[in-house]
Amino acid sequence: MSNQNRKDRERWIRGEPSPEKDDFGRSADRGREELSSAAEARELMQELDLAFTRKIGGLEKGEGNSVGSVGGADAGSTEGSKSNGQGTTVRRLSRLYAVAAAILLLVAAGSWWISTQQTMSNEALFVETFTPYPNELSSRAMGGEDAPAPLSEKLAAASLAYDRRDYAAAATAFADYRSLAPAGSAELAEVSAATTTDLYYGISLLGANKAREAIPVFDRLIAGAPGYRDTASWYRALALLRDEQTEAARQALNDIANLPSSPFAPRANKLLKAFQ
Amino acid sequence: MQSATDLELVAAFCEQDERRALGILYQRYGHLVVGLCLDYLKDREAAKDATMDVFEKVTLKVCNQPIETFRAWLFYTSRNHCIDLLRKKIRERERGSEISSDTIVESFDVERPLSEERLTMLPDALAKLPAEQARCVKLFYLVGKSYNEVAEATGYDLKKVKSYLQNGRRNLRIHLEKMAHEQSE
Repeated sequence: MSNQNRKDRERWIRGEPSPEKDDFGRSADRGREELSSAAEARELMQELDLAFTRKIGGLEKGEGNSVGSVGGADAGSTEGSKSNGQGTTVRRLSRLYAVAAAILLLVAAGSWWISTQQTMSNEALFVETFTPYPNELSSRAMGGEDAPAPLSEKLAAASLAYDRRDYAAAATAFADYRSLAPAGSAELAEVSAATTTDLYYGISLLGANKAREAIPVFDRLIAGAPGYRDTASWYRALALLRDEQTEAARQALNDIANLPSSPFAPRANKLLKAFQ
Repeated sequence: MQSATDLELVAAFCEQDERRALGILYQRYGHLVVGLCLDYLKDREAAKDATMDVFEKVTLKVCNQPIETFRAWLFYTSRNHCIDLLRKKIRERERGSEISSDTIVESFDVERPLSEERLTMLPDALAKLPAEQARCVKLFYLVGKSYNEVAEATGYDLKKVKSYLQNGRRNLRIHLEKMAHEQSE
């Protein structure tokens, strides 16, 4: 580990303020305050180093990072280092109890959910239900064999904003991309590329509270892109919900729920129950 | 390689599958990521797991993003991951507490679920609460303790815990609304 990296980490472990006063530094400083002591912070970093080495690799041993030192101290026993304090064991047991309690509570909550009359507003239901579709525009095939073709600058900016969940910026960037690459152009010649972009454009509009504008985007996808029909139908239903078109949303959800092949059928069923 | 810039390390990882480059990025930012996860999740084990998830996401996503500043990109990636976890956690607690409580405790759902925007501001809003309220809200909602466990951990009696939770939730709402309003101005 370089001297600078070690210094930065040590500073954090000791609970001294980060030299960089950005959101990341401030949040990390506040998070450090959740730990009771420098010893606990150091132990946490050692556990992380081991987990990182095991899962991802790439950490050099014996260069001053804690992988080397922990390995030495515990004679290579990773299990030992994971549960070498009574505090850790107690935390784990507490966690088990908490998980068991959470499961029981969830089961009970499920029964309660079904048995009670939900009167949540459409917007509340939407907020509770909406999650962004995984960004396939930026997925990377490890090894790079089937990595997608290079994305244009605009599309890449849109993808980044989508990942950042800045939906307003994503919608604008997707719209820019679409205006620069109108239908029939080389960029949109490939149907799959066009429809993928449309899907994320629609979801970005929906996330940016422009549900009414998102609906026709999803309609076009449902009509013209069989591969995206299920996904577009689900987000269209959410758009109708957010646009306060309650009956149309209910109908759209019923259609999805009655299609057992749709991966969104269980979610549509769950949302329908909340309507009752 | 230790002296390489973040973007040079990203390039080394993406173009040559150089795992050591990723290791150096972890050495530079691992403490910040786990610090941020602690800030949001308030639970050491959850923060540790979340940190590993974030670095796994890095391996999957970093190569196809037009990253100008790795630090900023990692911040957003980490924060979004923690927000997803928080939303799930709070939702579970809300539902659990609603059916198990025969008490004065009201629910976040009385109004509406916390949106992504509000969840982003949660650590800042929690920091503004009086210490007793913040402690109870963290233990109950974020760590997942029961009322009795919160009472045990804090030394407050059960009635006080419920009162701190009720007031804490209400004040949290107020702070979140205020912060959202300030941000939109």
